[in-house]
Amino acid sequence: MLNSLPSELILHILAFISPKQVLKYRRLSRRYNSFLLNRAFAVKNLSLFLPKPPTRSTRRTVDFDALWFKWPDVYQRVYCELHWSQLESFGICQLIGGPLPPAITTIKTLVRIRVLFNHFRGNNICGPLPQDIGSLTSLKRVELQNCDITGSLPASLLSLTYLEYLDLSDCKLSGPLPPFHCHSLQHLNLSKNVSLCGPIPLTLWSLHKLEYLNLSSCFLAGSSIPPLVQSLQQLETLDLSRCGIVGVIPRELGSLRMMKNLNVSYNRLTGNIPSELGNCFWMESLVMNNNGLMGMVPSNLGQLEMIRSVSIFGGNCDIGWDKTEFVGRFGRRLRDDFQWNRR
Amino acid sequence: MVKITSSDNQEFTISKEIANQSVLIKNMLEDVGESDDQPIPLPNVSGAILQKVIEYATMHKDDPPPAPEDETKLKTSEDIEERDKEFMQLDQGTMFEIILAANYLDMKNLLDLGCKTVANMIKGKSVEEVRKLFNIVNDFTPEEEEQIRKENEWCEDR
Repeated sequence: MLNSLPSELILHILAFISPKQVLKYRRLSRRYNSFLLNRAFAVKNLSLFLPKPPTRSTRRTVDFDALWFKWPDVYQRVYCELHWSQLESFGICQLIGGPLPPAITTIKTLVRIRVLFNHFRGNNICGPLPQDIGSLTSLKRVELQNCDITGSLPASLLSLTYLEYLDLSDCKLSGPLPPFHCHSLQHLNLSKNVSLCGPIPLTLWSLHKLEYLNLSSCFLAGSSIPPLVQSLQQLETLDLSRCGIVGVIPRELGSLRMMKNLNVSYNRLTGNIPSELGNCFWMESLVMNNNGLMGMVPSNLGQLEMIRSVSIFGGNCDIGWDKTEFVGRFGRRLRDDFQWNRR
Repeated sequence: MVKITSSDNQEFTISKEIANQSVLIKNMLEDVGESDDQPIPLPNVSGAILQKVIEYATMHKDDPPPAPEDETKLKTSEDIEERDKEFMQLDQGTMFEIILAANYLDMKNLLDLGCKTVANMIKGKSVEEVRKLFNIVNDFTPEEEEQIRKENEWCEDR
């Protein structure tokens, strides 16, 4: 009998059933499945159940927010259009246990995407990022650390003009790094993505607003630190430890006057320690142990009065130092480091 | 007064305020003008159903005009008036005919009432129960059905 009604009336009936359960009737038959996955139906159904206009204080929709990740794409998109069209910050609770749906790219106002309460692992956001995530052109912050995100880093993400903060550390990204065209980027953390592969695109060294750069524990074999690094005049933290980096430590690093934390330990760097590093007045932490460095510790590193931690001697390095040259704060740290590593 | 005739040639005489609840009849009356006392033919509605529709319209003839849309109120299937619930205690066949008639006569309130009532019959029932209730034939292959079941894990038990 229900079948004999015209489709528009069947849709009218089904639209009165909550979006929480109506989709289970997709399984009734092919006809109902196609009805329920129809965009017009999603609009009708969600419009009936969403308060209008959406307000921040509305509690009623919280249930739907959690369901959003489970809905089919068409429902996700319509919900974004109807309910999240002005959304700026997208916070993802844990326990989603699925990928970030491509429908998120419908919310053009998004400025920030982040995981909330991400204190323990398991049942996390997983799977690849939507390849066209870069169509969210207002994005400034992406904070999806400690997730089970797989696949490659979408090139579109690294082309976002306004992107300032990108943290995908401790995920499961793989493949090569795409070129970096996000020239507003200040904070980049891709550390602990052990399946990423090198080399580091040269475009990285032209992100002149970078203050924080951490690629630690990514296997970026064949990369080196080019003299171009001197473009990063705002850089305070550079962590390239355990990256498979070869070549020398370029003297241009010494021109980065804001530098506070430099860590290039556990690589295959060779050559001398450049004396120019002594110009980095704010340097607090200088870590370059476990490389193939040689020569003498340059005496003007002794000028680094802000230093709190020094690690130079570990591993197979062939580095000497003149005890008489180092007094003061740096000297004390250097002595400790030497003692510690003495065989 | 307005005269209308059903598909099986039963004639009903109703007041204008009742007639006007059907947008279809209202428009027809405006088109033919006041003076015409020819009965309006309604070839898509049987006498028995028209009788029920008139009963509904009579019950609601003194309703206040619909308030400007209350944006905060959800128009879901929960908000059915008690008298309407009683009115809709019908066999399935009649119920669907009333829905069709309300759609044809363009009576939004009655159409919504009918659709909400059917929605309430479906709600909370399993897919199998709904198939049985409305004689819906499952034409999926087992693989297709399993695929949807998998996608629907989140709502199958609701």
